[in-house]
This record gives sequence, structure tokens and C-alpha cells, in this order.
Amino acid sequence: MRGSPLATYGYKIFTVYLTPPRKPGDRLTFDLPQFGAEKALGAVADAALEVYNAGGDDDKGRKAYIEIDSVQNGGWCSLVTASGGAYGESGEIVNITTGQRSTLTHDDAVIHDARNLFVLPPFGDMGLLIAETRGRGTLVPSLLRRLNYQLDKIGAYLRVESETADDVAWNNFLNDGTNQITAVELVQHQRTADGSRLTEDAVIRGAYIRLTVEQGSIQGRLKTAVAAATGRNRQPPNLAGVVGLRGFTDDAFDEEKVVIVDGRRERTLNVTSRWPSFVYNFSTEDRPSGATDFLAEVRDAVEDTLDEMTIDRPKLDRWWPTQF
Amino acid sequence: MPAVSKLDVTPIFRYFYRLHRGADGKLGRSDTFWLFIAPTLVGSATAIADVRLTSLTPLLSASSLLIGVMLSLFIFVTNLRMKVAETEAYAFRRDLQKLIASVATSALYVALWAMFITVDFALSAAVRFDPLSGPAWQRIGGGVQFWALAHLAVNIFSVIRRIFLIYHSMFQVDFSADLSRVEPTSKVPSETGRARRRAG
Repeated sequence: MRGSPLATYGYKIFTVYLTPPRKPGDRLTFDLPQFGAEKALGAVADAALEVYNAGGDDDKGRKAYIEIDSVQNGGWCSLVTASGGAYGESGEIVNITTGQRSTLTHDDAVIHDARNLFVLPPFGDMGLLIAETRGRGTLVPSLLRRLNYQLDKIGAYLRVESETADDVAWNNFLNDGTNQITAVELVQHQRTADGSRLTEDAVIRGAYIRLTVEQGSIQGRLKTAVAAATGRNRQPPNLAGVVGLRGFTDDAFDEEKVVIVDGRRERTLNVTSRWPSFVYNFSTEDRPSGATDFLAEVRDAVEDTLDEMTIDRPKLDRWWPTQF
Repeated sequence: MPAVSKLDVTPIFRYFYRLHRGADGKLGRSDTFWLFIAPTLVGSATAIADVRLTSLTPLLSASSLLIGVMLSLFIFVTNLRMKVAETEAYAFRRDLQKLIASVATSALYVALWAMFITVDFALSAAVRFDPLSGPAWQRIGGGVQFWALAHLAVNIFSVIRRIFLIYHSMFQVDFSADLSRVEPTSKVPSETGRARRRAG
């Protein structure tokens, strides 16, 4: 399936954990006896199966529709393939070959399928959720809402956070020699927060500075900035300071971007307010065609993240389903 | 390890420090501080202030008790390690196994250290050696004794902490929050909205 040039396909990794429904601070370990023999993974897989049987539903708060297409389990993993999309905008559909037209009303949702892989070990209280992305979005919020409706019946609530996995992802990405920061872009619109301007001339409407960087020189300083940005405080990085632009603070620029080349692709990251969450790319241009290919693509990243979280694992075929 | 000599206890020291080292092969800053720098501060403070241990008898009996406790701890932890190796659920938990190994080694390390301290106390109480009995030597001797005691204390706390961590690592479920109590409802709840099934 050839991907549209507008959508880029990839996946994000989240850390998942379970809590009682109204107590976000208390974590539930995955091997609580009440979860049964299959432990927490079984509970989540059962919830997904219930959602599959219940059919599609719309999330009025987010104006999104979601339904589960299939639930496949193996080892410590459960692959939930869901289809979803937004609704609320009307339009027209034109078939470019036949010329046939049909209307899209406010109540029509355009849905795409996405794979969501849950990895829940049979011990501890942390697992992973690997969610396929279109652009930067996932089906995770709507999916969790449906799953939590079912999990509420047993007194549990599934939550995700991305800081832990993002830390690992960004550190690995920046430490990889093939990923080079090639430029830093700083944009200043006419009126800035602290009044500082690049030029005193009022006629100048705004400024766009692109600083090209020698390969490798800025990596160390940017890594420190990332470590601060992806940590608990989520401090936005001060790019003006990192590139040594004297006389300007973080507030002087309305937008701060970093351009990274990872061998094939150029990524422009907008780091104005915070360091963005990490989206992994597939090694192929298109989405992996089947579940087995998807598993093969994400395995390395999953193992790296689990290593960083010090979650021990047995031999690969005991916890990872190599095929579905 | 090669059987160099049946009387050589250095492997215990070597493996103890090896297990303390982090992934980069070096002792962490916190470890270095508590194991070496803090005792040095204690030792120098007591040497300067000329603080002496007055009565050594209670320390001797406490020391022998400690050695006995540490040796039984070693036997218990070895037993636990065997059970962990045999249980499928724990057999792949490397981190847990390394933790158990570090407790076993630390128990023997503490026992050895307590033995050295005991011998030192006994000698300083019982033996009179004139060239080393001047006031300056006495201060240094006292400082060294306090260094050894502080080092021993740090390691004892560390062992206690780690045996708790073993329990926590194996049985984290015991400390977990509980599932929320579910209210039984008279009718089966269904999801809001219209449920749709994709055809085919």
C-alpha cells in the first residue's frame, strides 16, 4: 500500500501502568491475584475483546470515532488493531478515476487503521504501548477511553506516559553517529515577549535565522539541553544559548527549531515550548503490510526501552510473538 | 577463580567491589562517598579530637554476634538463590540474581571486616608494644579503628537495605495498591452511543 505523500508513518512508544480508577498515584502491579492467571495482560486483552464485540463508538469529547478490528495475543504482548478518525467536518469525496462524487457530512468520520501493541510483563508495574502514528497522531486517547470503560468493571484504569520512553529514544537517537544536527532555526515575529529585536528598524517585520552547524560540534551541548528538556521538569531548551547567540534569551524568539538529518531524512523539530515526543520511523517507505512485519520493525526499539527500564526478559520466543 | 591459596580471602573483596561497580566499570560517586570518604571523615575527626574507645569488651561481643548473623545470612541467601534458579518465574530475572549475589558477598565481606576489627581490638587491649604506644600513635590507632567501624556500619546498613530490596523485587505485588472495589449493578452496563459493527 503506497502511503500518501502527506502522511508519514511511524510509531511512538509509551509507558503504560495501571492504577485504581480515581487514584492516579497508586500503581497496581501486574501480578495481582485478582487479575487472574493471565495477569494484567490478560485483563487488558479481555477488555480489548469486549470493545471489539461492542463495535464502534464515537468519543464526543474528541470528536473521534474508534472501533477495534482485531486482538491478537502472544507471549507478553497483545496486538490491538483499531480503526479510527475524526468527524465533524463536511466535504466531498471525488473518485479520481471514475469521477464519482459523494458527500461527507458532519457525522461522517474518515477512519484509518493503526496497530497498537501492548507489552505487559507478568511482574512489576510498568509496561509498554507501541502505537502506530499517522503524522504525529495516534489512536491512543480514544483507545484508552474505550478500554478503561471495560477495565472499570474490574476496578482498574490504564494510563500512559511518554517521558520515560522518550528519554531513551532521544538519547539513543542523538548518540547515534548517523544522526547529525545540521542547522538551528530561530524565528522572531514583530513583537516579542521581552521586547528585544534583532534590528531597531521598525520596518523590519520579522526575522528568520538559520544557523548551519558543523557536523558533530553541537551534539554534546544539545544532548545536555535534551536531557533537561525530556526530564521531569520538561524545561524547554534555550537554543539561542546552545548555539552561542549572544545577547538573546529564550524569550527573544517565537519559534525555535532544530534540523536533524538521520542519513535519509531531514527532520525539523519545533522545540519552542518543549522538546517534542519521539516518533520512530519505519525502515521502509510504507507502512509494514502485516502484523508480522510490524513486529519485526518495532522489536529493537522495544528491547532498548525495556533494557533502560531494567525489565528482565527470558529467551525471545517466550515473551515476544515473532509472528501473528 | 584459580586456587591460589586456601587461605586467600581477597576474592571476597574483589567480587564485592565488582558487584558494586556500575555499568561503566567504576564505583559510583555515592558509593565512593559512603564507603570511603565518610569513614575517612569520621576517622580523622576522632584522631584530631583524640576520641578513644574506652571499653572494648561490649564491642567484642557485639562483633562476634555480628559475624554469626552474617554467616547465617549468607547461608539463607544461598538457599534463596537456589530456589530462584529453580523457579521458572524468577529464572530469567538477572537483576534480582545480581542483587542476591551482592547480598551474599556483602554478608561475607561484613563478617571478614568484623573479624579484622575484633582482632585489632583484642590486640590493642591485650598487647603492649612500646615503640607504638606514644600518644601520636594512639591517636592514629584510634582514628583507624573508627574508620573501620564507620566502614562496617555503612556496609551493614547497605546489606539491610538490599535484603529488603530482594523481597521487594520478588514480591512487589504485596506492596501494590488494590483494585478498586466494584459496585454490583442490577443491569449489565452497555456503552454509550450506537454500537456499530463493520460488515464482513
